[in-house]
Amino acid sequence: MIINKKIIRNIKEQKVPYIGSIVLIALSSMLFIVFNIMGTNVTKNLAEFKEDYVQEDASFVVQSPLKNISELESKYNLILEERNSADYAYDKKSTLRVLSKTKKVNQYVVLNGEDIKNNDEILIDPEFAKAHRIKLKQKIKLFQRSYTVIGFVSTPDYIYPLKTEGDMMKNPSTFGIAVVNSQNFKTGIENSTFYSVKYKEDKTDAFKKEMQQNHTIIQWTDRQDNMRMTFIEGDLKGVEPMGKIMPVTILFITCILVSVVFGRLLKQEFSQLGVLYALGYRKMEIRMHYLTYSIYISLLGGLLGTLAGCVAAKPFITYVTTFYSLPIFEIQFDIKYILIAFLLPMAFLIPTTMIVIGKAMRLSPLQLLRGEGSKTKIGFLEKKLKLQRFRFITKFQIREVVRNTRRTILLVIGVTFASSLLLVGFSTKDSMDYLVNNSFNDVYHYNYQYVFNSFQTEQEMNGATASFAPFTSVDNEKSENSFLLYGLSKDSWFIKLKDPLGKEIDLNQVIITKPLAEKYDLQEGDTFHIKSKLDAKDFSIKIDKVAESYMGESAYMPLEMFNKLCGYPEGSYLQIYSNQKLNIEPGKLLYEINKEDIIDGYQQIMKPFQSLIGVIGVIAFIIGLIIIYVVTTLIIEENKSSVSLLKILGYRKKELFSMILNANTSLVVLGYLLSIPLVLYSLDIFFKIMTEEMSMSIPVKLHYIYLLIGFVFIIVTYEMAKFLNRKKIQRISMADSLKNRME
Amino acid sequence: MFLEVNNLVKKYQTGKVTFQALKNTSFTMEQGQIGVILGPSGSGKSTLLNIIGGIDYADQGRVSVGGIEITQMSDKQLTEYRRSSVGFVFQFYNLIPNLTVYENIEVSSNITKDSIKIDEMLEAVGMKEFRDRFPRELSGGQQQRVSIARALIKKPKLLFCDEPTGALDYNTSKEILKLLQEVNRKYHTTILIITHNNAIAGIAHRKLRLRSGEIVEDMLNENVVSAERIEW
Ligand SMILES: Nc1ncnc2c1ncn2[C@@H]1O[C@H](COP(=O)(O)OP(=O)(O)OP(=O)(O)O)[C@@H](O)[C@H]1O
Ligand SMILES: [Mg+2]
Repeated sequence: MIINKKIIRNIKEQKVPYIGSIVLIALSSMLFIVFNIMGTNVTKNLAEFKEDYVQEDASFVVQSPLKNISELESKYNLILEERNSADYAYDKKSTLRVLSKTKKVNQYVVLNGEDIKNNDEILIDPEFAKAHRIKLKQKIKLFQRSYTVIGFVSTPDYIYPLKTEGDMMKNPSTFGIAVVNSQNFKTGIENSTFYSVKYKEDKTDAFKKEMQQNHTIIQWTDRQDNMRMTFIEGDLKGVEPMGKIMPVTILFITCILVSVVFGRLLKQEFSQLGVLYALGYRKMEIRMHYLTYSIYISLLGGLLGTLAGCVAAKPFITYVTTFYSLPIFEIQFDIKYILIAFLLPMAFLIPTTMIVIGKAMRLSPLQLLRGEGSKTKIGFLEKKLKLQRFRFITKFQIREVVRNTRRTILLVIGVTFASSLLLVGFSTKDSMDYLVNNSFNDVYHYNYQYVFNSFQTEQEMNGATASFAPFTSVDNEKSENSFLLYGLSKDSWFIKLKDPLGKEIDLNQVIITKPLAEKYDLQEGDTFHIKSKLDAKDFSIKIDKVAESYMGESAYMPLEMFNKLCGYPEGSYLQIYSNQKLNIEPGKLLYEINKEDIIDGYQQIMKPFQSLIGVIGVIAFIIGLIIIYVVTTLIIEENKSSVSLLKILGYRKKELFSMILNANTSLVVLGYLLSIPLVLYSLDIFFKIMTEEMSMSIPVKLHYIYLLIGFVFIIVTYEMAKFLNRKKIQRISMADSLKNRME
Repeated sequence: MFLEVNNLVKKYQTGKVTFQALKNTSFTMEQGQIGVILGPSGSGKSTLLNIIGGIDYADQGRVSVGGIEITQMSDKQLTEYRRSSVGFVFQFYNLIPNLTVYENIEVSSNITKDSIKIDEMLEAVGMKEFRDRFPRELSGGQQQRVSIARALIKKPKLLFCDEPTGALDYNTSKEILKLLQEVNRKYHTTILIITHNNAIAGIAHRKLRLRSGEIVEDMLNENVVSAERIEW
């Protein structure tokens, strides 16, 4: 159709809004592909890894070793594997956990290199290797023996390599794992033995009972309580809404943008439309003509975004899978997502355009020819405004804002979205910071924690002793998750718990943490019926205090009470907390924790997160800039003849800039302010979803410094858009308003 | 002389063709006079007015207003000149559509230190009761009154009217002309009116005729009549 020739000309004349729409659409499609392809591939690989390589259902430590593994396996219909582990102080700060080779449960994958055959060969965690500059074929010395690094390894029980199950922060520079032949543990290496179990049938309780009765369980960790395996699942849950909400919101904003642009275009072309009608064009043909615009825009944006997404997906997946030590078996580009990414923009834009055109189509050819409808209608709101009190410039700006409500909404939503993106990044970081500082620096005051692999009774002079065991609620069996119950010796200086008012709580009573209280809806004074996960022993405790702590669901009571209730030997303990390094035989220890490592690990993990905030910031900047720039451009376009007139009347450049460009300042500020409660509210929900399966809760924090930074960021974006538009105002010639009728 | 126009030349370049819109145009006017510029379409009337009004530039020649040469002025100085000394009235009124009558006048008073009170001005142009209406809700003549009020509010030394009655009917046109005449008497404003209508020359002290960019007639009108008495 000949009239379609003018589409390209029109787009060329009014580049900014069209390019802006295309960029937004491309961004949306790209994010859709990147997040969804990453999400599905990681989920699929994870599932495969869990399934094919037999991820454990639980691991445990017992006082006396199991001799009858195959017997137990057939009796309880499960797979059981004995494993050895030894923590080697690789250097001053770092620990390499050497594990014995597995055959049945938690089978490892060699990511790079070859599998071990000989006793002097070792497989190592690639992230640890990277952090310590260990290369393939290199020889490393562990426990006075030399090993050749023959490959890099990933194992299903250390997808997220944490030193202890309850940790949150991995840190490859202080902790990593390695796999060697089991024979190595028979001689010369002080090690502890533990067992990994995979159920084929649910005879858990009976099996556990036998373990407890015949071997005395020291430690029992179910899969769902083990952050090494659940952390990634929480994260994947967080990714899922990201891959949907972000692209759809961007598309939604694009739709408003497009409807504003087309609304304006149609207004300008109303009389042309009338002429076309008069010439005998059919409604359908005219409708198609305008639809062509949005089809062009969405096709181009969708195509660019899909291509960019496909290119970016692979590095993104690699980045994520390396962050978790997850092997990639294959990357599939699900055609479904590619098609959706490509076509979704059209599904949004075509109806939007239809609605805008539909309005114009209702006018008769005569009305169109007369230019009715293209004249400025005075809105109800505009008429009702009482502005006498204001300065003239303020009046002018208020009228500008009220005149085109769609444009105003576009600006507010656009700014709110961009600010939200930014603040989500800041708030997440701030919340994590708070979590770590609050729990580690405020709650824990030890430097070293030692956890034994069997009950100890010797008096320890240089530290405070404690014990712990996993428990679940009896009344609320639905929740599989366990929490840790600690028994604290009298002088437990290493832990400081505070009540909601910030007052320190006396430890000589039964205390539960706030997350635990919230989970089971408990209050001070309530009775809590609990059951040990180790031996299924159950009893009730009366809660004296609820402590403000976000780190984990846990409960505390005096050690004597703990031992008595659990039926453990009097005066026995499993942990020592100390301020100095203690000289304890490694063979007695399950593990030791250095507080510095944890803080250090946190900083390590925040590094990639900071770059993520950076990337989000850039996206927020692009979106914010596009929206503000396009809206300002539209305002200038719509006010071309007014600006021209103001110039004739002798308005100075500065006055014009402030009248036209600053009209939106309050809207930008409003958009930003709206984003604050929005972010706080949605992050709260988001964190709840993420930590649903973890035994912790994340408090939403947003320090005013970040609010200030976010504000400055948005204002800078706004100033930038204004600056880019100054030239446009300068270019408007005075002759413009002389030649034409206004409106 | 209050207004001196000397050998003005204005050329337009369209592609390879150069078109001379003004060819050595010269004339003078005294303060407080009404001048009318007549001439066929395309003869350069608007071009001349725009240069004197500081909206456009001449290629050669000089224009001085009250002894100050505006043809030598920078953009910035021209802005100040328009701001302080000049009022414009256009054929199509050129009011800002989303501002009320009152606010449209405020557009101009806002940038003037010593302006006439808006309500007084509205009274003077007979638009007091329409102060809160929007331009769309007014007739052409009423809109032109607002536009005249907008131009006069800042007490300009010079008022330029480019076909102020071009879009109006006979009676309304006469009312607008009457208003301009009153303004001239009351505020002693120098007024230059462009028109196609020979009859309008009756209200002017000076009558200029342009043809193809040249002044072909420049005469004094000894017999100025009031706007009510002209006929066409
Ligand atoms: N921007 C421009 N580019 C090229 N030529 C122009 C331009 N502006 C005016 N002209 C030409 O200059 C000549 C004078 O134009 P001007 O607008 O001054 O005429 P006029 O006497 O005001 O006519 P009318 O009575 O129709 O308003 C015309 O021939 C016009 O085509
Ligand atoms: Mg003209």
